[in-house]
Amino acid sequence: MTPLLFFFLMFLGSIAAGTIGSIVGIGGGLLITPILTLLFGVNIHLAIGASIVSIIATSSGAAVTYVKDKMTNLRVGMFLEIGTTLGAVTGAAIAAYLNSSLLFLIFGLVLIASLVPTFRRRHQELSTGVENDEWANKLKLNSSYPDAVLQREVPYQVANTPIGLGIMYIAGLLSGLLGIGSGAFKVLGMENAMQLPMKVSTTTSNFMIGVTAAASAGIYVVRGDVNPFIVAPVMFGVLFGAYFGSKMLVRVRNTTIRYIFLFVLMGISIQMILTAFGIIP
Amino acid sequence: MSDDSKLKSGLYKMVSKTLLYGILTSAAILAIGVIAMFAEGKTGYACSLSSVNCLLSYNPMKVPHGDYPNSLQSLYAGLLKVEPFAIIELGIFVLIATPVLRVLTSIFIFAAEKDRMFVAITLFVLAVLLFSFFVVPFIPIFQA
Repeated sequence: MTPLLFFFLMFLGSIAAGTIGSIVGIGGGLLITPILTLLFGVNIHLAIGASIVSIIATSSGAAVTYVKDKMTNLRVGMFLEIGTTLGAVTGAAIAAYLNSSLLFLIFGLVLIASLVPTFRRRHQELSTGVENDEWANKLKLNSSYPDAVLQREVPYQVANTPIGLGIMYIAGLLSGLLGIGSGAFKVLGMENAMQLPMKVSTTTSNFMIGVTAAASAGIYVVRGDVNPFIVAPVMFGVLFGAYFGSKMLVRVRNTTIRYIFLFVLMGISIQMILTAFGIIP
Repeated sequence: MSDDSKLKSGLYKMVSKTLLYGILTSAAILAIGVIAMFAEGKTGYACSLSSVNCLLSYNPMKVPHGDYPNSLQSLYAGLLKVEPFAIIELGIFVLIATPVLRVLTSIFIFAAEKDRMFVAITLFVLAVLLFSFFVVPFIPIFQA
């Protein structure tokens, strides 16, 4: 294979990763890691290094649009980043002392279990009767977002903020430990526990994953896991993909996004369980 | 428009702009590096551009696990010699710095809004980020 062919194939794969990732609020490591490890035989550490950078690219690329359009809830995002960044740093710190197979198995099973409440709400466009908890009141987290499909401004309140913060700590931990899965937990935390509308959950997750990934990027760079030859096509592809994805999100229903999210979540859980049993790297 | 929503708009606009300039700068630098790499047919580091196997290899025995810049010092050294890999890595560093700049921008806006609670929250996040860049990677046990 020539370097140019590798560059081109990685670029195409990353466009897909960036598009899907930006719509469902995850980093796209789900696609990039197996393309690199299974298709090109790249070492898992280099694949995780590339995933971390791809997360920052997905996040920043799509957030330009999401933030400008006021889909993202900046206050919720910035508050929850306390949990995710702390989690990411502790995750990177304790990674060496934990058995990662067991972790992959536990989190894979947790993700499958969390599919249930999201699946039950599959027909529900918006939650009703949600009221701000005490923290959400104090932090003024409730807001509204413009819904182009419903053709109105949708106001919403925020429930279970402390539980949400706890889930974000776990999401950050996971990202620091395993390099994947952090966006999925963030969306679940906001959509299941805090009862935010689906679009607000995925765009706010998208907003946060960049900072979470940045919090563990330093350690990967110093270790030499961020290979410029691999990361360059990934970054270009993901930035393009995230741009397309962010333009698509506004035009689809919350229920459609939830379906795509469920599908992607299933993919991530299967990937984690296969990794736990050593079937894939 | 009420004062409150005007301030809110200001925050959203600034955050969106910071991210946009960040990714545009990083993509431009990255493009220069990639064009230089293919045009000159070299990386400037141990692996030649002709061997994909070498370019994708990982050496578990030593840190860093591959030959390319892995710190601000080594990046600076590579940039002085205008090596293609160093230019690409600079683009990556700018991308990694983008979310940090976004956090920094929001601190100023929350301060202008006199929202002390969120100034404190955002300062804390910035502190954790800086700790993760300048302290954590240099603690020997984390360098596996």
